[in-house]
Amino acid sequence: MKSKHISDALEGIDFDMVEDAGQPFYPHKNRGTLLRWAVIAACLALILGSLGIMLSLMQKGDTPIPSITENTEALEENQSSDIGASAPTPPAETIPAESLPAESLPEDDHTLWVDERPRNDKQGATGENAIEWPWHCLEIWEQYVYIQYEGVTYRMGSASVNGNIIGLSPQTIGEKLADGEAYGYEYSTASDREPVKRTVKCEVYTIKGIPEDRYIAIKYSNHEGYFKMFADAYNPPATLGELISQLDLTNNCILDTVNDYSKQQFESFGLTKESSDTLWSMFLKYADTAVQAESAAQWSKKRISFSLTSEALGIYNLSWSLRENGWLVTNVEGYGYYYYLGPDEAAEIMAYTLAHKTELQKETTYHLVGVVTEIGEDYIKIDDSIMMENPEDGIVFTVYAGNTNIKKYLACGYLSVGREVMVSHKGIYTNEPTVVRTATVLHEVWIGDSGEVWIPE
Amino acid sequence: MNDDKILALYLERSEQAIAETEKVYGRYCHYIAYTILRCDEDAEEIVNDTWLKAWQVIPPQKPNPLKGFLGQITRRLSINRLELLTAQKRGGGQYALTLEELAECIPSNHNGEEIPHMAALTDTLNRFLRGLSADARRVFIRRYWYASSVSEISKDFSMSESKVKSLLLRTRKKLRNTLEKEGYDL
Repeated sequence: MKSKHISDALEGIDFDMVEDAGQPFYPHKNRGTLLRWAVIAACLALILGSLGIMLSLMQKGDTPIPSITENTEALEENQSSDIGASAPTPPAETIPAESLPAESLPEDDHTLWVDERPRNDKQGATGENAIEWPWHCLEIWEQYVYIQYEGVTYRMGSASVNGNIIGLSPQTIGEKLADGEAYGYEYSTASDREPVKRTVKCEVYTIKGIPEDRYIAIKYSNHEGYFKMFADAYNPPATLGELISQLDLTNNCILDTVNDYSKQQFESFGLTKESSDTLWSMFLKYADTAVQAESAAQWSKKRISFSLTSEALGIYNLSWSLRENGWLVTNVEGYGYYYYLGPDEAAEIMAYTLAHKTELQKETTYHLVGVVTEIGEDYIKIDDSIMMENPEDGIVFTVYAGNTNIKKYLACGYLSVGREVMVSHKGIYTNEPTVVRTATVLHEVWIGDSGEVWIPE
Repeated sequence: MNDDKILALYLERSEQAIAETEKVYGRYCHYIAYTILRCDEDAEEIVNDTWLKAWQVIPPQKPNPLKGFLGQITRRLSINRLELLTAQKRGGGQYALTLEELAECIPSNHNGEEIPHMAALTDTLNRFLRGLSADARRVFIRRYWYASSVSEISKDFSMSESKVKSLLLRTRKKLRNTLEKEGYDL
């Protein structure tokens, strides 16, 4: 008998013992659940920050390529094509607001309230929470996502994060090209009904410094804001240098957020502007590198990924990923572009990156989990007693929808009193200790039989 | 959706069966695969292979509980993949370490070449595990079924790592004694 026989025989043992031992999210006592929640939800915020959760890189013919994913223990999802951030650090301790008499708080105090109430040991699991919203619940830039101009079909790029528009800065808008008509498709839940094409008038503009055969900007009639549309055809720049210069990436994108998958333990860190400039110059050393077909690209688990965000380009959290085997992969234009630099060349860039890491400058994300007790026109109330070690410590928070997906939930009537939800937010202020005005996204959750909190897929 | 409804979808040969299986058990199976393989890409492939296997064997099989059935498939596929990756000098995980530890359970005079009757050995293991304290059983299964690391077990069960190691050591010794008594040293 060998040890493998024992291991193989273990496979067939009674499953109730296996299940008892192996709950992936096992309730336990006296743990830093805030940190674990922060890890889960920070990644969740990044996942859902991208429209449609950019998990795949599209090529011509809409053939998705394998997503560049990797999970930590907390099952983090993609930031564009890579994993999200590290856990935010809980803020410094302050006296809980509810223990201070209201009249002692200055009116315009923007100190963040720190929740020191003992919490129970419920933990959570993440999942994707992509909902097909009805047409009438969508924002205009989510409805009319296509336009035909000069015989080319353009489609919407990243226009919003959690429903908060990022759009294009007016300073980036060039000359007006034409009046146009944007369109989109209203899909019915009935499987036998064809989608209905809807149109809206708009104006078409150039984006300064960007060739109009690649990008244009549109402005919807009776709506403020400009939105980037990119030519919906797989037409990668012939070389890496052309890609960088056409989008003026060296000026438009600072490589200041890095996800490091080169070691056993995933890590996120920042880079300074100076390091970013150096890195762009390192990439430009390979400006003549020709773009390759997706089929030629080799995957490598070990990689570092830079997050690309640019108001000028209207992009958020797209990926510039350098793999140990020498492949550079990016979805900066919505399609997957592949450039082979070489393993030694990649090693040099990775080494520089790792040698110049700094603290990641990120806003802390907090999470409110509880039961919906009231639904208003632009707010919901959430009672978080269920998460407290002593339910009497629970607080009923008023959460304002703002421009988040909560608006969609309210518009579609998808929430009901008694529903368990999790709201991610940027903090509660001591001058309004029971009000959340900084919500970013809402998830429906449910409490499992063992007390664990699940976010349904 | 409960198991009965999911199984009904398999019996109807509805493609929704896979979607519902993934919805309910995707996370669980991914955990098993990832813990053994420590690579998300490989784990995802294994989970997809698990769904394919389930589709192929249901019907005629009607597993109950479905979760256990899927977990076993995932574990087996993950171990097979790990062996392949190890041969190719890729992959990682705790599985190899668990095999080294389990070697301590083999009775001293045992003929290493003899292959035990697996059903009998499983039966022995069932009885052995049922006779353990709850903590010892959970830690042992978590280590040798799920191939979780000592660190993970320590954190998830709120025990010190030394306690986990101690429990595992004592349990392995007990298992060795049990196997000797049951004649596995012949």
